[in-house]
Amino acid sequence: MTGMTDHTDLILDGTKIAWHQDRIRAWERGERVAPITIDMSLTRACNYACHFCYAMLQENERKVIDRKAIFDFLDDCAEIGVKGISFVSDGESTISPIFIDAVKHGHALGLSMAVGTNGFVLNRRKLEEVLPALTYLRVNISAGERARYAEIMGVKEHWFDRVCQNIRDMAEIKREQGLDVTIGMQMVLMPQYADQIMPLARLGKELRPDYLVIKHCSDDEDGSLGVDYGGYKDLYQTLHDAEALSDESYSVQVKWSKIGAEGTRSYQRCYGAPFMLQMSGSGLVAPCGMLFNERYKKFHIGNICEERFRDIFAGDRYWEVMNYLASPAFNAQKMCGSLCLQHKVNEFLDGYQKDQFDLPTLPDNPPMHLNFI
Amino acid sequence: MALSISAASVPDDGADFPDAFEVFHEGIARTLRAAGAATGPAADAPAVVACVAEADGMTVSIAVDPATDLITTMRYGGGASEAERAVMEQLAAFAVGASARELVEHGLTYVLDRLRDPSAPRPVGGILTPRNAGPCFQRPRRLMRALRAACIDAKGPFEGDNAFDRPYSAQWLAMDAPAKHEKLNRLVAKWRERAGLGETSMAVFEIDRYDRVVVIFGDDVDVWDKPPHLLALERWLRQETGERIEVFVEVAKDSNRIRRL
Repeated sequence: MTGMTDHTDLILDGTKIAWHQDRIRAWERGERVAPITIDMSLTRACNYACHFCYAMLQENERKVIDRKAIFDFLDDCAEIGVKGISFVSDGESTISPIFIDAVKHGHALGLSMAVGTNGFVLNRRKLEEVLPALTYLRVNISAGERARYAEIMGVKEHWFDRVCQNIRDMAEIKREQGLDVTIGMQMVLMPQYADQIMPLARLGKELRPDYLVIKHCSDDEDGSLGVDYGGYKDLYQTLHDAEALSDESYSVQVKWSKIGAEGTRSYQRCYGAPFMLQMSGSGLVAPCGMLFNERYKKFHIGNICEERFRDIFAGDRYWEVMNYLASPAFNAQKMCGSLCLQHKVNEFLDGYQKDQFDLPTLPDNPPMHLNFI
Repeated sequence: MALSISAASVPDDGADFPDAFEVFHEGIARTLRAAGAATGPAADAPAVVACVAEADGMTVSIAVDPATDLITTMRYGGGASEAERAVMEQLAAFAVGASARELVEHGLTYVLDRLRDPSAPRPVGGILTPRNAGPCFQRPRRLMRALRAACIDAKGPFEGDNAFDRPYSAQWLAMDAPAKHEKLNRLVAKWRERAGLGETSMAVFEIDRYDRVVVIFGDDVDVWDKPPHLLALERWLRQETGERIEVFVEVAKDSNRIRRL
């Protein structure tokens, strides 16, 4: 299974790893490849209390990522060949005082920058400053109605209005300034939020972001969040109805491949982490978000608040952990939570590593957001 | 601008096993001393379904028990070098009790682990896989690819996901919690000594319902010494018990006051 979808302009359900064959070749030669994408947060803190939030399971020893730490980190990323940084991960990066400067600094270094946010503390002034430096900005919004928004996202009802206005502003600024940035909305779907699928899809049509993506909810290996993966099947028709609201400039997309996987993995080794690293808002460098919690200390590699990232990346500890995940000592089917960020990359690399297919010949026109694999 | 750092070394032509990286030599020698029984045809195997494959002058055959779909015997033949023989011997050992799919998909990564000296640096700086593990892995790799094709020809495409897993042994599962605690505490005490840690530096805190081992550290252990200690301890416990022990520390609860679980 290549994990690649048919080529489309915007791949939201698939992987773009196949467009980075130079790095795959270097990886298979046993070279120390830099991550293509790093998903991180600027803080572990958050002003929301979302019911589905995986970050509740990711607590680790907190450090503060200050201006020097993040600037050094971004400098190091540019130096070693990282291509894209997404401020998503396990905290609300927009509430960090260094958020805007960090985005602009990364952009100035030539890194592709992206943000996932609840969208609450942004305002028109901040958006005008930050949007030109971003490849995409995605707003997490898992309901289309005020009351249900407040319930699911754990905030006051009127916060919904402010977030909607911010999304309107984003679309407007993009249009007015002719920006390349992609504006997205994201629904993390638990089966019990089914009543909000259509209201949210309709809301998006009114607010006019570029897309609404509806995705599964991840859970840890013990099922701490209680996600009922079997329950997604009953929602397929509603999800198709939501997709049918797409028009020429607003796309509703469901992450079918992950929702259809029902929380299972086809592979046992994790080869994706060196290509797509995740870092906690505490500054912790760990291979992936599912291993952030102190419980998984054996996988913790370093912290950018204490050590330069270039040194962490070049250190034996980094590669010891990555090799562990790629070895028979590790079984992602048994030792990991469900449907991680690296899932599609893992599927691709696992199939390739098992000689199930050769690297594909690629179409001439690459997809959007190539540096976010 | 550097994309990567290469630390690959090349096999030494003057060595005992010129087609193998040095980090595998001891494992190869050990395997060859202990083995030799897996060469030849599989026809004498007490099972009825067999797949045979050939690649570059080497052959492999497996016998599969139709009742369980698990391999009972693997045999190989052809002009293998000594290092290749060791690879195939380890594959043959791995194969018994595994599914054919497990053998062709994961067998060689297991062999890498079995042959490599864990105290020596890996022969590549990045991720060690059969593709970059040196010449002695390449014919076996092609052989496994051919075996995969032969199995699919014989029985049709593999269905679903490969979820093959070697569970805890019956002996381990039969032990009650105090006995497991006692055994692991004894091993952890030995390991502490090997690692130069004091008596209060580390102890088994809990064995959970999935037999995952939770350890606690004393205050004398530096925070960044803990991760390598944990991986090393886990590796050692696995080696000493023969079980797939997983080592963790205690869960940290979410410190965000407004989130809830």
